[in-house]
Amino acid sequence: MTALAAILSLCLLTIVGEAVLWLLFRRGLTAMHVAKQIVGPFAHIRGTDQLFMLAVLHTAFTVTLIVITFLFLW
Amino acid sequence: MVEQAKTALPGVEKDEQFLFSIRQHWVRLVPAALAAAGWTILLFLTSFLQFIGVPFDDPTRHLLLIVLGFLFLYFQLRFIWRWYQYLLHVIVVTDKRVHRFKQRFLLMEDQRSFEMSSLQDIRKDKAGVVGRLLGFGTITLVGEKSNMPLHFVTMADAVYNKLVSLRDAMQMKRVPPAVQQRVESAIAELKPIVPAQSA
Repeated sequence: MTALAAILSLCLLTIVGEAVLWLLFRRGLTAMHVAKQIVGPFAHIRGTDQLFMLAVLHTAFTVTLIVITFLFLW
Repeated sequence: MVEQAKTALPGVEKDEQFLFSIRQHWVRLVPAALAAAGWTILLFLTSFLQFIGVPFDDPTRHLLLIVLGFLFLYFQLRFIWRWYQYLLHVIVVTDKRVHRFKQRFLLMEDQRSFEMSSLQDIRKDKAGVVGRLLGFGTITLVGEKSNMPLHFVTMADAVYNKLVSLRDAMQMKRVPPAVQQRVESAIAELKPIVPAQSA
């Protein structure tokens, strides 16, 4: 197995995993879950756009770390 | 968004008046966040092996990297899973019921409602020192036939006080108007006595 194959497999798994989890989450989400009347932590996160951006950022972070580590150590 | 939020939840009737909704305390996310952070640090630290010289042959190093990569990925996805589950767990208080909505494994919906009219007692339990410091706890709604525990409630004291005042208001509604009037007039008669006694 080459470094490229290992990196691509893990990155693909990351993207597919994140996408599946997002779709499952999006399906169960109602307006109440992101409503501004919610009391408690993360109440400032409103709307699915912000949540989607967080998911994209997390995916990018995970992929970047995998690529860097594998390129360094393979 | 507000109007939509009031009607978007299944099981909440249109004549119910929305009062407030609560999300669980962030401490629920700590175990998954710590595991994800731990594996991130471990993967990051392994990069430094390149500078001090990796003490393994190629196949062993490749295998170790793949195992480490998979574990890192598993704990990252597990954290996201927990984060989504956390966001989908909401307690909604209306003038008639307390609704608890939660998604198990992001697939199964778990909804429970508690009639405020059957509410007999409300118990509050703060989970040890951490609960007291961070202000979360378990609030149990005790009914005639069943109880409904609400775990890791944020600002447990404030929520408890709100629920108690709501219960008191509900109980006052059940008292016949004639009795209510008699109680109010008795209280009015008592009022002038209080300053006289204190003086």
